[in-house]
Amino acid sequence: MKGIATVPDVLTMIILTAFFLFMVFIVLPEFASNMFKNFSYASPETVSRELSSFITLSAAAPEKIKIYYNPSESVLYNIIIEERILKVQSLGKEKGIASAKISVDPSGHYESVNDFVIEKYRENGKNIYNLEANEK
Amino acid sequence: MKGLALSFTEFFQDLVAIGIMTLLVLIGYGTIVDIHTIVEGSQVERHTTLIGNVFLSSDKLALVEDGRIQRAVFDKEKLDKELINQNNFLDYIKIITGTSLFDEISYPESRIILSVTDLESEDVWFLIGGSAVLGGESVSGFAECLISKIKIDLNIFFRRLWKYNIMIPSLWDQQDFDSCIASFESKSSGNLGILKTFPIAIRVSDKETHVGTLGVRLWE
Repeated sequence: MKGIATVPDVLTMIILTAFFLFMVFIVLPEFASNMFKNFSYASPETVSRELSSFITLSAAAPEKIKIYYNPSESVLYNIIIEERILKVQSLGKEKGIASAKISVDPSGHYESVNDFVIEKYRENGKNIYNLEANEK
Repeated sequence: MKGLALSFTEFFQDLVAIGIMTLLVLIGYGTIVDIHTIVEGSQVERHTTLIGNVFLSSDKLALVEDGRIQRAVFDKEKLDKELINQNNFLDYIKIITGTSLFDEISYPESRIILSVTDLESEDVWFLIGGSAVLGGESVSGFAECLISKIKIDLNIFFRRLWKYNIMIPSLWDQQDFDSCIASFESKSSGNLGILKTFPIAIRVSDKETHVGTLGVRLWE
């Protein structure tokens, strides 16, 4: 249906069109990019890879080291470390279990955690590895 | 206005409709689409770098002075104890028995060759480890290869006697040894693994320190 547009109507259309284009081409791609980035950082694959690397890397410190790791503020994980295999189960949007190898011998089970402190120190000539995991 | 096809109300309705559709697509990503992350990159390469760094700081190899580990400064006595000195025939039993080094530091379900080279004296220490090696054919294959190449080269024998003042003859020269390593590698389905080399120092005595390299080759 054809209609009559007044000057204020045309100005409003232009403003709305500009706003719409701004949302579609700038805000939404940024939003989608952040969303996917958060998904990937918080994914069990990424967390298992990072956490296992940090644990192994802690062994490379000659004396003592403390590494803090908080992959996500909102996603929680179940963690199992045994026989040098680290398994991460995500309790967030991206379900699934991922595992990664570690080259040294800490072990433990942790449930519903997302904040990690990896500590390595030497005591009586022996390397001690300690993983603390809590919910933040 | 000539050419205007839609009224303001229709234009606004269409805009809202497009907005709702976009919103539905975004919500669909969050609820309908199952997202899986695939980590790209070489896991073996990363593991090789990491474990190499762990060896550099291991008290099984590194010098300990005043209770502190000297990272990347290896102690020759510890190398003789934990690794196989290429020139010491008796050390080769460690291929079968292994040493405590890989019990303490190793990735599960992987194979590894650790080699330390003294670039000044040309001494070489090495160790082969990993579950697949110690339990499988690779050890016997490697041992058979070495046995088949045993020879006492009098030139090498006397040169080493003169150079190092040692009584144990070298039963293999560098080419034999390299050949068996290559054979071992080819049995890993043609997979050469990942090799990383790290610069180190080797403390030979209180007054003598040599420059050397640590090589780590890992298969997974």
